[in-house]
Amino acid sequence: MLRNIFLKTLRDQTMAVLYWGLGIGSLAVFTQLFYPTLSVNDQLNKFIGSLPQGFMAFLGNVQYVGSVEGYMTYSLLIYLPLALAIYAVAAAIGMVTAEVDTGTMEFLLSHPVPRWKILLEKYAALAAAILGIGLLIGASMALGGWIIGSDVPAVKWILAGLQTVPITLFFGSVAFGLAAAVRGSSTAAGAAATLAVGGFILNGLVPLSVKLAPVKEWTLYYWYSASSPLSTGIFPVHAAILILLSIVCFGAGLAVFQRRDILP
Amino acid sequence: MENLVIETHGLTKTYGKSRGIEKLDLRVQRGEIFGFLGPNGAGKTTTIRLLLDILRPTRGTALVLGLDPRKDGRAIRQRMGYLPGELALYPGLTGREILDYSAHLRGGVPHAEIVRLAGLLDIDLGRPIRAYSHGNRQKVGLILALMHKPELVILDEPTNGLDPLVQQVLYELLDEVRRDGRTVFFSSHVLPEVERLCDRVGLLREGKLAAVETVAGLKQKAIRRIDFIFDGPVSADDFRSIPGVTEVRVSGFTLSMVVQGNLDALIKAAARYPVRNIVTYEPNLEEFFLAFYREGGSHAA
Repeated sequence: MLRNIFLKTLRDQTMAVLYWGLGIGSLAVFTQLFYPTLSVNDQLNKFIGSLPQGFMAFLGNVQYVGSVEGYMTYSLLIYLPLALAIYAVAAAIGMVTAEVDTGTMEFLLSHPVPRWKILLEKYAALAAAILGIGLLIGASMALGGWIIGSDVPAVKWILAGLQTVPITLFFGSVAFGLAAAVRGSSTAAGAAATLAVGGFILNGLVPLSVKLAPVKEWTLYYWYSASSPLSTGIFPVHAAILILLSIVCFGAGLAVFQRRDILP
Repeated sequence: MENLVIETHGLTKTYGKSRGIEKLDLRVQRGEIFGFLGPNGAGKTTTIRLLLDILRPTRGTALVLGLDPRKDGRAIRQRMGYLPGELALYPGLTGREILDYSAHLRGGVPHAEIVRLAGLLDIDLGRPIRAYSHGNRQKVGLILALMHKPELVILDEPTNGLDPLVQQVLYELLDEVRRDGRTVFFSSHVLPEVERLCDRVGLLREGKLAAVETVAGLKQKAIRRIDFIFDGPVSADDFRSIPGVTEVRVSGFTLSMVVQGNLDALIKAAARYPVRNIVTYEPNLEEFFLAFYREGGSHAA
């Protein structure tokens, strides 16, 4: 695992990936275990029917609300990007800013490895770690589905876990790009957190106001919540837009990192 | 040209309105040990980081091993070894893992050389970095800088934290580098090691290269303390006007003074009295440097 910067960085993330993937995966299984009880006698549909329209709108485009797919979407999946953004932002800042602040970036820069390669390998490790967490969450949901005897195919659960990857990568990329471009961690953390939380709230408010409708695509959560492997199916274009935006953020950070003084 | 391993022209680095280094013209020859001296904040580390392309110059140019650090940084770093002044290593990795990681990033390093250096420096590489003392971390840093037998070794305060025995080992390793025709550029403020090791030294003051001298030349210019013991009374006034003579004191029949430079005029003045004994003390570079920085000396390169 110490053959290159990618593997070293991935090794550093191993425990965090396991904690986050298995932690949220366990929460997913725990949530699924409630479904059989709630679905008896149509209690779930009655409960959902009693919710205010505005609150339902805040939950997003949830179809099949009475099914296990809909139940898992509004119970867990809709909030996951917010939680995973915490990991992605912390990991991105740790990979760049923390290495500069602790001085280990000087260790890397003293080797015959170009700056762009240092950053690219670290970014690839961030993407792989986020992918790993998404896979663990998906696999956990597949296990939960099997436990409760759901007829939803395992591959759909796994795809639902993987659907968190592009938007999590986007928030990680915002932090990564800013950490590469600017000294200190506050700018990167602040901007990424603002986009994550602000986008989530705005996405919830859009269906409540006609005037906000034109900005729905700008909330970024739209590209996550408008399609779901569990209900509406996969729209690869949505994931591609988030991945493209992620690469733009990384590229912008890399361009500045190539030119700037790395240490004081 | 080919014999210049480091060459800078007007190299300048400013941080906003703050000074880093200013118009540095430096030439380091292949095969020499060049000491880069100056008090803290003089700009030694800034210069080294510019040579490594960790910092980018505000003005001026630098060539390292004949290459531009900006364009050919990778090729330069392949052929050089570096020990930073504030060495930071991954605390969770063992010494061996750090060296393996570095070796992979360099595309391979002879394992036998790592084993040899670890043996010479007497370090257990199986322990995690966080469990090492400062001195042991410094030893790992020295192995990192030397294990690939680089053409140019840049060391920023290398003996910081090393015990005297290990310092001796380091001196022998650097002598070995010189014998191989390779080059050492190191910053230091430990003057005995500068005297022991260096062929030439550059003196940095407030971001500017104030002087470049051979160590032998420095000793010529160095301050030495001399006592004359006479058979009778002596007048201090006969000596105060001699160029380079200061701190003249008379105690009984003993005349003490500090002399810088040529002793000829002093000896001739003393010969007018009956001299019983002369006691001279080894020129002390430390006193020279202290006086140099205190008085803003300017010994041209």
